[in-house]
Parts: sequence; C-alpha cells; structure tokens
Amino acid sequence: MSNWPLHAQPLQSEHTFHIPVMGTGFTNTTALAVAPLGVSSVIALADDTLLEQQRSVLSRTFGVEYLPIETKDDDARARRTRAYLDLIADEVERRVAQLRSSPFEAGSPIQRYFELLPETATKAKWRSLSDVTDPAVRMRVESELRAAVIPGQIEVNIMTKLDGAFTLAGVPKPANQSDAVASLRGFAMSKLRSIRDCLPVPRRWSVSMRTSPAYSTSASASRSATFALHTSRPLCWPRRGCG
Amino acid sequence: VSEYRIESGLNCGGHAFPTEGQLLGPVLDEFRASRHELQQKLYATYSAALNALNRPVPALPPRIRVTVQGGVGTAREQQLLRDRYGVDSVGWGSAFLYCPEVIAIDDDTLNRLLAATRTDLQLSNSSPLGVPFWNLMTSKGEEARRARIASGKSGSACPRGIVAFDTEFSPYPICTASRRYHKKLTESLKDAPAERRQLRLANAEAKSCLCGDLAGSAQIRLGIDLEATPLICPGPNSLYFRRVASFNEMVGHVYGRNSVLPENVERPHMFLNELEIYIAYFDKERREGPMTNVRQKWAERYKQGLETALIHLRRLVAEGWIANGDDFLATLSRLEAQFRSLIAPVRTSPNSQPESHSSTDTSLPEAVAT
Repeated sequence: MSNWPLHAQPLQSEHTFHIPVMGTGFTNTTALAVAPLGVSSVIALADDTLLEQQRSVLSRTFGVEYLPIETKDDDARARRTRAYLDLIADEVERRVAQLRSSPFEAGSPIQRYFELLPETATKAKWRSLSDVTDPAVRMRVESELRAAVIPGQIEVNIMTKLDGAFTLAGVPKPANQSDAVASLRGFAMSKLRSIRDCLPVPRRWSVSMRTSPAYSTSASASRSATFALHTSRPLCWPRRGCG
Repeated sequence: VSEYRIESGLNCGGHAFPTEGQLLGPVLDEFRASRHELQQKLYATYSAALNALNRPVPALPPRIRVTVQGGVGTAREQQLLRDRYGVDSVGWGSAFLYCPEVIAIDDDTLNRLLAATRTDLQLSNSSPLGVPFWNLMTSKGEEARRARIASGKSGSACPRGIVAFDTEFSPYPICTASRRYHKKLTESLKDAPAERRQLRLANAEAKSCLCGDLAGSAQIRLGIDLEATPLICPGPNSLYFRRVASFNEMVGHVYGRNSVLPENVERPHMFLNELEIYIAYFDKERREGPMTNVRQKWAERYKQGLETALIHLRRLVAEGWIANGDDFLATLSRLEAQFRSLIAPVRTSPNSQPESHSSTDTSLPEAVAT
C-alpha cells in the first residue's frame, strides 16, 4: 500500500489571496512581513547580485553572520540563491514562533493574525474567545488557536527562458551553470521545500536540466505558461501533510 | 504540477504575454469545467511513470490548485473569481505596490506612481526581450535612459546581463539595452538609408536597463545603493489605486471590510478593463504591417476569442454575478461596437486603414497608445 499522503500539498492558510511576484526585487522581502500573517508571496530569483546584496544587509539586521559569496566563486548563483532563501526561511520561522507564543491581547502579533483572516470557522472560534471565562477552557481554546496558525507560503519565481549561458565577459558558463538551472538548484538546496519534498521519494535529488537555448524573441515564445515556472512551496508548517 | 497559476495576458504588470484573444473569464471557465479531468489525466501520467520506475504510486490523485491574477481590484471581483470559477487563491499585485509596509518600493518611485496619469503608464517597447512591457515612463530609470540618449551616449553599462540574448554583433550574447550594443548598431548602420537607421536606433534606444534598474527600488529601501535609478512596471489596474495603504487596510480591502479605492473615481469591472485593453492591442497590432496570411489567421483567432468573451461576459450578468449589471452592459456594448468597427475592414481590405480607424481613436485607452 502506498505511503503517499492523501493530499500531497502543504497546509495552506485560510487566506484566499496571495501577493504575486513583482519585478526582480519588489517582493523579495515581502515574505518577512506577510508570511507570519498567513499570506503567501513570491521571491524573484532572476537577480542573484541583488539577492546577495539583500542578504548582506538583512544578515546584519537580523544579527546573523554574513559570509560573502563572490560572483567568481564556485557555483555562486545557486549558492547565493540558497543562502538568501535560507536566511528568509529562518527569519520567517523565528517570527512565526514569536507570533504563536504572543498573548491574545490587543496589538499582539497573534491577535493581528486572526483579525486579518477572512470569515472562517477558525476566525469564529477566535471571536468566541472573548466569551470564554473559565480559565481552563480558555487555555485549551488558546492552544488550539495557536496550533491553527499557518504561515503563508514563501514561493520563488524562476523565469525559465531567462537561462543565460554566458558570463558578462562573454565566457561560456560550465554545464548546469546557466541562469535558470542555477536558480532552480539554489532553490532545491535551500530549506524551502517544494511539493516534491513532501512526497516519499529519496530526499536527495539532483537537478540536471539540459541547457536550454537562449531566449528567443519570436512570437512563439510569448506564452506566459511556458515562460514563468513557479517553483513554489515552503515551510510545510505544521509538518502534517509532509511525508 | 501542483498549481496552475493563470494570469491575464495583457491586464497584468511587467512583461505581457498577450493571448490570441482568450480573456480571463472564458479561460477560468474552462479550468473550472475541466479541473477534474485535468487532475485525473495528470494522475494517470504520474502513475504510469512511477510504475515504470517501480516506485510507489499514490492511492488518490494529488490535489491541484488553480490560482489567478491580473487586474483584480475589488472584494466583489475577488469573490466572483472564488465563487464563480472556484479558484483557490487570487493574486493582488499592483494594488500592493501602494503598500510600502510589505513591498520594497522607495519613496520617490512611490510618489511618481501616485502622480502617474494614464499616458505615463504604457505597454511599452522597453524590454530587451522584445516582449510588450508595462512600464511607468515617468520613473527615475526612464529619466536616466532618456538622459543617456540626450548626452549622445545611449545604452546602459549593463551591470547584470540577465537579459543579454542578442548575437547580431558579437560572438556571445549581449543586451540590446547596452551601450555596447548601441555602439555596434550605430557603426553597422552608418551606410544604411536614413529611415532604416532611425527606425532601428529608435527601437534600440527605447530599451530600458531592465535587470539593472528594476532592482533599484529594493536597493534604495535597504540602503544598498541610494543613487539607483529605479524602474517600475505596474499593471494598468494599478492606476485606480491612488493612495498609500497599510497592510491591514489592504487585506481589509481584499475581503470587503473597507475600501482603499477613491470614491469619486469610476472603475470599470476587471473583465471590462481587460476587454478594452485587448481591443486596443488588436487595433495597434493590425496596424503594424500588411495583413499577411499568418497575421490574417491570428486576427481570425483573436476575433473569435473576443466573441467568446463577449458571450461569456453577458452570461455573467444574466447569472447575477455583476453588482451593477446595467452599467456593465452599457460599457460592454460600447466596447463591442468599437470592436465591430475594427474587425469590419480586416476581413475586406487591409489597405484601407487610415480613414476607417480615425473614429475609434478617441475611445482607445490612452495607456496602450504607445
């Protein structure tokens, strides 16, 4: 009998909207603010120079050690991508834990989480909390509500046709170092988990894609469906639903 | 594939990938109708592949999500997309550009966006990829581009090279927005006829330094480069939002608890906005050159797509999904008339264009008049 989960999807919060990818940088720090509040957003992986710059500043802000990854370093684009995504994942996880343990009182993060939710059964339960007077019952309901906090997804955007295979100086990049492939590898190595990792397949998997031809500007390429690959899915939290 | 994220071809931000007239409503309708079938077919494919590899096969088809984005602006529209088409999540992009609490937009760029008019936001020729690109022409990045042209040294220094894909003048790909490309192009055209030279140079000069300058806002916000010259690529729907909003306000707007839209501005339904942009795009495209066989076929498909959309939109009203049905139908009729006046000459005589279009010019959305 199969040991696959019935729903091979990470848990989704009850929000019915998300913030799509915008440009190469507009939404790269969005998850820090919105993921703890249950809202999904997208990090653009197109510009690894920007990701590295953002990591250097954010590491300092978060008090995390920053080890630079230079453009010339081995597998730099994939490693920069991974390092940035891990930094965001760790900080979001920390903020989620903080939110979960905050008190149910005006102005607290967990209060804000439930205020923002659409009108669902979970929200109704949260509303009913103010009617509960028995301390024991209140404690139970509070802990149920804390467990019902589901962070928003941290998704990534890889423009698969933007798969440049030359350095700025015109030197061909080694196999599997073209832009989109390196981004995908960076995502795969990061702590963010894709749907694939929720399935009972070997956890180690290699990313080997053929180097695709450079972007062509012909009309036939102008179909968004083949253009942007949303490799998504992060932080399956709580772990239920992941294999 | 665990999620299908559907985006409007033209009513969206950044790069636009126009469909051949297939609008969001009919596409979503098809997804709704065929969702189960899609899930089953995917399951059959996965199962066969996993069996061949001797790997365990899931007992049930994995769930798939359908999400949508492109021009949504009110809680009613959010609800329509959720209830009528059964989408799991709706993407709100351009609206959140006005929410600096969660989006990395710098003050100066935000102020320019707030001051923007319809003509400032264009479906432009700015992208080196040659794909239509919604671009705010009053951004600092665009000013920098124009300043480079004025100084006689057009083209950017090309700091990133992410969209360097042109090999006309070099053994390896370079970017059509780069100084290097512009120099090579100018040299190659020195003996060319003036008209051709000007056309090609103007086309190259229109290219923005996308990968360098789109990062500008994020760089300023984090203090990485305060001298950055940001570009911003909002969708046409963004101009209906006219003020900065907090994240709480914006989420409240999505769910209809409050509104961040100005009360005195009339905002047509997202599907009508999309239809209008598609009609304008059709008009612009078919004026670009002679009606070859290929283009004639494209026009036919496009026309068919819009016909399907018109029927679909009328059905939405009949089904009671539209709050102000009469206004909706009035705008729809106006757009349909415009569309009908455009398609008549396409089928008969593609050469008799100038006089047959003048009557429609005034009603085109200015945003597309690039």
